[in-house]
Amino acid sequence: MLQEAVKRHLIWIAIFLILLILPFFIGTYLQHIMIFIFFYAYLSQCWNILSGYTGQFSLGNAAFFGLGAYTSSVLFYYFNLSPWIGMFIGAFVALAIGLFIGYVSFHFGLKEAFFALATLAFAEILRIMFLNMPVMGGAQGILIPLKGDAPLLFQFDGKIPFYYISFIMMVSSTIIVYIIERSKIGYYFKAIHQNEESAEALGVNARKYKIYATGISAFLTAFGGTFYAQYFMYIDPNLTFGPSVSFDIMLRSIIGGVGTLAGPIIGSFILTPLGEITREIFGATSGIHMMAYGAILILVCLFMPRGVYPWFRQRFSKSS
Amino acid sequence: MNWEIFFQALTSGILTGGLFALVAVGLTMILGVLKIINFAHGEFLMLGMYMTYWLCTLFNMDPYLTLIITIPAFFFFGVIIQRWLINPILDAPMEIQILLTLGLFIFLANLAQLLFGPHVRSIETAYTFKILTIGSVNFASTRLIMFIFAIIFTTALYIFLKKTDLGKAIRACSEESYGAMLVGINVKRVYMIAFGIGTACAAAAGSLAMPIYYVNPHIGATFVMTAFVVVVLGGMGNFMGALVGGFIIGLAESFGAVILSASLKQLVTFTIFVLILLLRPTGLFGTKRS
Amino acid sequence: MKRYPLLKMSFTLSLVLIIGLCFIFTSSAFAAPKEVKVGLIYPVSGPLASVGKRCVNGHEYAVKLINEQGGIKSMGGAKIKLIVADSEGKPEIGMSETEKLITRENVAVVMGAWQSAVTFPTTQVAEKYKTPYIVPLAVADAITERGFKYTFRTGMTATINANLAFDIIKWLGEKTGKKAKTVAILNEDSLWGDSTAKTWEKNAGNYGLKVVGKFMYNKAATDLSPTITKMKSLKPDIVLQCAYTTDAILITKQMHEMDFNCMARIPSGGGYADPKFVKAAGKLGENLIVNMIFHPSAKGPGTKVQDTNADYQKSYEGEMDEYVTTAFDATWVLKDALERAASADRKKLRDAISKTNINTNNSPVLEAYDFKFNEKGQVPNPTGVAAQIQNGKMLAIHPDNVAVTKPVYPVPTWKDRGLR
Repeated sequence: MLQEAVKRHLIWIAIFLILLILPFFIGTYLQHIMIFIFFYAYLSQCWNILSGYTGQFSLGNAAFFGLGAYTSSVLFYYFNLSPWIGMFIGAFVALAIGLFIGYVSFHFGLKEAFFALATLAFAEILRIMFLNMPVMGGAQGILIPLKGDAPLLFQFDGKIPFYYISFIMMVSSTIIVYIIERSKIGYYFKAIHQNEESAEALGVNARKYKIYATGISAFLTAFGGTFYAQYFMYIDPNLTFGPSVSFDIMLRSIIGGVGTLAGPIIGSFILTPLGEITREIFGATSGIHMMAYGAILILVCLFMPRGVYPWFRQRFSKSS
Repeated sequence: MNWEIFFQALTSGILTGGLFALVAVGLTMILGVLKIINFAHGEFLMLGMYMTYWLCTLFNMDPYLTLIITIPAFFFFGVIIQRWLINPILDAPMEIQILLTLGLFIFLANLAQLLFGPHVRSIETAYTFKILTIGSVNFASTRLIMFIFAIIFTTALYIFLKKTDLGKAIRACSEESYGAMLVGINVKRVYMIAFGIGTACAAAAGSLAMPIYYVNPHIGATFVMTAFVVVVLGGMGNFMGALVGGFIIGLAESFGAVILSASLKQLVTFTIFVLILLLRPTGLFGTKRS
Repeated sequence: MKRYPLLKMSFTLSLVLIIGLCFIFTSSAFAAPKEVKVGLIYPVSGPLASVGKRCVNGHEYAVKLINEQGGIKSMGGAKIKLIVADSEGKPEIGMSETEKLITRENVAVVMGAWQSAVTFPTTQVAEKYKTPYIVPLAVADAITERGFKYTFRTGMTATINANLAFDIIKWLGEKTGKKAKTVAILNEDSLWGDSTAKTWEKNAGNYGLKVVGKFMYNKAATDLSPTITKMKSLKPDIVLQCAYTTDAILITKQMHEMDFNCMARIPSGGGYADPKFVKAAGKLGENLIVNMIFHPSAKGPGTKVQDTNADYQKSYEGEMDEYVTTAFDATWVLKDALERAASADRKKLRDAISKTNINTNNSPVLEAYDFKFNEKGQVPNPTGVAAQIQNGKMLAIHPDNVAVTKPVYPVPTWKDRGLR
C-alpha cells in the first residue's frame, strides 16, 4: 500500500519537476504552447467544478472570463491599479455575477439543456452590453498600456514568468478541486450530479450547493481573464465574452473526461497540441486543418464517449 | 417613432420572423424528439443555400423550384448523419452530444470553405427587384414568398404530426421514448426520420433565404443562436410554437433596432430568452416538462 | 500498482504529442542559400478567410514579380520566400504562429495581420525579437502609437481613412455645386466600424456637416430594414458607411427595398471594395461612391496600374482590390529596403525600412502616394481613391490625378433608375 502510494506520488513528482524546469530547455514558441496548455487546463478545471462535478452544464463561462479580464484591465487603464490587485477585484465581480446567475437559474429550477442555453445567453448579453459601452472601450476594446518589464504590474519581459504563473494556476486549481472533491461540499456536488432528487431526500440543499458551485467556478475563471488580458495586452468583447471562449474552455474537459480531476489537464495537453499539429501537417492554405480538427472531435465522441482519461482507465481495469 | 416607422418595423418583424420560424421548425424537431442540442443545424442551412446557389447558377433553375431537390436530398443527408453519427451517442452524456455537434459544425463549415471558397455568393432572379408597397410600407416579394412558405411548411408538419401514424409515433417518442418502444414503435427509425425532417427543414429554409440573402461558409452560425431562442420560446417540439416564437423574436429584433439600436437588438432577444427560460421553461405554449 | 500504468499511459500520450511537436519543429528544412524568408500572418481559414486570402495573394504576386526580375540584386539575386501562417482570426494563434515564424523559420521580416486584434499581440512578439513587422493594412490607430521600433505601417489608419470621406464630400460639393449639409452614419460594430464612426461624428462639424443620426449594427444581422426606415425619416443628404461584404449586400438590397434615397452613400472600402460585392449587388450597386484605399481603375503614371492589374488577373481570381494592393505595395517596400540593406539581418533591415523613400511615379508600387515613414513607423499621408460604380464598373473619380471619369452626383433615386 505504502509503496504504491509512493510510486503514485513519484510519477506526479516527476511530471511536476519536468514541467518546472522545462521552460529553460524549450524555445519561446513551445513556451507559448505550454502556457496555453496550462491556461486552458486551468479554465477547464474551473468549468469542471460547475459542469463536471456538479453536473450543471455551462455554455457561458466566457461571462466570468470576460468580467475578470475587463475589471482588471479597466482598473489598470483608468486608475493605474496593478492587475495583481485588479484580478482579485475582478474575481469578486465575477463571483457576484456568478452567484446572481446561479441564484436566478436555480431558483427557477433550470436544468440540463435549459441551464446550458441560459448561461450561453447570459454571456451573450454581457458581450453585447460591453460592445455598446464606450467607457469600456466599446468595440475598440482596451489596449493595456505597455510598461516594459514591470512585474508589479503583471508585465514581464519574457514568457517564463507567464509560464510559471499559468503553471501555478493550473496546479492550484487542481489542488482546489482535489480538496473540494474530498470535502463535504464535494460529496454534495457529486450527489447532486448523480441524482438531485435523492440528494435532496438525504437533506442536501441542492439549490444552495449548485449556486455555490457556480460562484466558485465564476470566481476562479475570472483570474484566467486577467491572465489573458495581461498576456495579450489587448482585449475586446468578442475575444473575451464570445461563445468560442466558452467552447474552447469546455472542450478540454469533455475531451479529457468530465468530472475527473485529470480530465481537464489531459484534455488540454491533447487539444492545444492537436490544433498546432493539424495546422502543421495540413498547412495554412484552405482550412483542411480545421476540418481535421472537427473530424477528430467527432471521432472522440464516437469512440471515447466518456473522454480520453476514463477511456484509458476503463481499458486498464479490463486488462489488469 | 412615427406611424410610418411603426408599420414598417411591424411588417419587417413579421416577415423576418417567418425566416426565424422556418429555421427553428427543424431545430425544434431535433431538440424535441432526440433531445440533442444541435449546433450543426445552421450548417445544414448553409449547405442548403449552397445547393440552391449551384442549381440556380449551373442549371438556371428557379430558386423556389430547387426545393424539390434540396428537401429530399437533405432528408437523406439527415438520415445518414443520424444513423452514423448521432445514433451512437444518443445515450451518452449531454457534453458528448454537444461536442459531437460542435465537431460537425467545424467540419461542415470548413468543408464548405474548401469546396466553394471563402467568398460571398448571391443569386439574382426575376423576383429580386419586385418590391411591394402598401401605403408607406415596403417589402421585397421574396420576403413575402419566404413567409408564405414558412406558414405552409409549419402547418403541413403540424398536420403531419397530428394526423398520420408516423407523426403520432414521432410525438410519442418525443414525449416518452421508452414507453413508445414498449408499445411497439421502432424508435430508431422514428429518430432517423425526425432528424431527416429537421435537416430538410433547415435546408429548405436555406433555399428560401437564398434569393434574399447571400451565402458564405460561415453563415450558419448567424442563424443558429436565434433559432435556439425561438425553439425555447415556442416550446421544444412545438411547431406552432416555433412559428409564433419566430414572429415574436422577429418583432422584438425589429422594434429593438428602432427603439434601441441595431447593435443592441440581440440584447432584447437574449433577455426575452432568459426570461422565458426562467419563467416558462416549457415555452409559451408548453404544457408539461419532460 | 493498479493505477500506475494508466497514469503512465495517459501521460505518455500527451508526452508523445509534445515530443511529436518538438520533432516537427526541429526538422524544418534547412534554409537554401540566397533566400530571404518572409513570414505572413493572416486569417486564411475561418470566417475572415476571404480577406486573408486576398492579402496573401497580393504578397505572393509581388514576390513572384520580384523573383522573376532577378530577386534582390544587392544580395546576389537572392529570392524572397514567403511562409504563410494562419491566424484563424484568433490572437493566441496569431501569436504562436508569429513566434514560430520568427524563432523556427527564422524569417527576416513579418507582414500581416489585417485584423487589429491580431496585429496588436503579433507586433509585440516581433518587437521583442527585434524583427521588422510591416503592416500593410490594419486600421486601429494605436498600432503605430505604442513607440515600437520595429513596426511599420504602409497603409491607412482609421482616422486618416475616415477624414478622407469628408474630403470626398467637399470635393463633390465643389465640383457639382450641390453641397451636402447633413450626414447619417451607418456602421458595423467591430473595431474598424466603431472607431471610424466615432471619427466621423467628431470631425463632421469641421467640414460644415451635421450628423443627424448614427446607427450601429452587428454584421451578422439578418434584417436591417427597421434601421433603414428610421434613417429614412431623418432625410440625410449623405450616408457614411462601414460594412463588410455580407452586410454591404444586405444593406444595398434593403435600401432599395425601403426606397431609401439620398444624394450619395459613401461607404468606406471594406465590403464595398470587394469585387464580389459589385457582382452580387448588380444593378442595385449602380452609382454607389466608395471611399477606397485603392482601386485598380485609378490612373497611375502611364499604364502601370492597368498593366499590373491585367497581369494579376491571369493568375488570380478577381481584380487587384485594396487588400491585394496594400499587400502588394508593402512587399515592394520590403524589396526596396532589402536592396538598400543588402542583408537579411533584422537590425539592418529595420534601419533600411525606416529610411524608405519611394516615389510612386518611378516604382512598381500602385498606390498613388510616396512611401516614407515618420518616427512612429507610419506613412504620414496615405491617400485614397474615390470610385463610383458606373454601368456596372467601378471607376475612379477622385482625386483628380487618378480620376478616369466624372462623378454622377447627386445619385439618382431608385425610381429615376427604373428600379421601383
